[in-house]
Amino acid sequence: MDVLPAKKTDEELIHELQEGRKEAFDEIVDRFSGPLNNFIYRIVGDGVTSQDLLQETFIRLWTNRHSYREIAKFSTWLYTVAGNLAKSELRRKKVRRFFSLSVSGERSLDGEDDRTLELPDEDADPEGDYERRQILKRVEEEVKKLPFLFREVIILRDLQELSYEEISTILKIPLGTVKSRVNRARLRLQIKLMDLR
Amino acid sequence: MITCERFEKGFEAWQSGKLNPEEAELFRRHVIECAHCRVFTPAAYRLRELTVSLPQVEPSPGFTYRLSNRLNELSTRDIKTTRASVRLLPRWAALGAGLASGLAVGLIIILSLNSDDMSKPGISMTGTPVASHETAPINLVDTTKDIEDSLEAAEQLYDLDRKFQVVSDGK
Repeated sequence: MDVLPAKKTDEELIHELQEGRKEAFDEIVDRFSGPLNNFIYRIVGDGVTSQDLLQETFIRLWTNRHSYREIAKFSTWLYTVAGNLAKSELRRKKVRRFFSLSVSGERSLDGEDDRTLELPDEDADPEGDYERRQILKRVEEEVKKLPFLFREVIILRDLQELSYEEISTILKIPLGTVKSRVNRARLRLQIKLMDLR
Repeated sequence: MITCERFEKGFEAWQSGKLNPEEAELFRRHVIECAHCRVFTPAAYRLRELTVSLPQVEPSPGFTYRLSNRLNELSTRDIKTTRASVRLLPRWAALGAGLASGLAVGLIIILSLNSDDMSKPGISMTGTPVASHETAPINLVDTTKDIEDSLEAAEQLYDLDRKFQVVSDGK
């Protein structure tokens, strides 16, 4: 019976990359492009920008690959880079909007594009799936409307399923603050989505 | 002792009595000790189940290809930058050589002037009178010309290098 080779840890991959193995970089891209894109997209709310920032994240990983030290988890390090890029982008957007004369009413107060995010169409099971998709769409909209401080912790904890410890490292805030923000964000969402029950 | 993450994940199983007594006890203790998890209600659990199941937004299929192209572009630019910094070397080398030769010539003049003073009659180091005609005359005009020549050569070298760089940069 063939035994599948054990999956390399993220730390093993970055170590191999630091030693000059290009394939390790491809593997990292393969492993992280989905979750990171999802994370950035949920923060900036725009598919094109999120892919640009994802590309920039990987370019930074490539150019700074030797500066990674094993004091933090590699995924945490990568999320920090992506998160910082996403935050800078949001700041830039705010400045652009401030100086722009063509501010339209379709943007919400916290600076995001308010058009709803389209969930991917899944074929089959028309009724049950349709209802579930509508619910998820509502949840998605409400997550998007959360103030940035709450949104980022909810994305990291409940969408990306990172641990509280990891979130604390990524956002550079105390563990207690992360937990209280998550609770407050969940409470806000529960209130907003009360009609779904 | 269980973590908050474990508590959130196993909350429903705990609530519906699906955990074994030892595990259930751990959950019960955790909720007493952890203020954060104390407010984690069935409604919060249901909400979390929904947010967790939101679809993941994947990058478009051509992403990896675009990334690879971008990295290639960057590494090409890196090589060009390295070459440019190598091209800068001769200019600095020419300047350095000019300055060094200027200093060397200056030093020779000073030493020659000093030795001229020393070889005047009556101030010989050996105490023996030295006739002024025995001293080899120092041709100051030639020496100055030497300095000018070497400086000019350095400048020409510098100009030449600059021209070469302009041509090689394609400007």
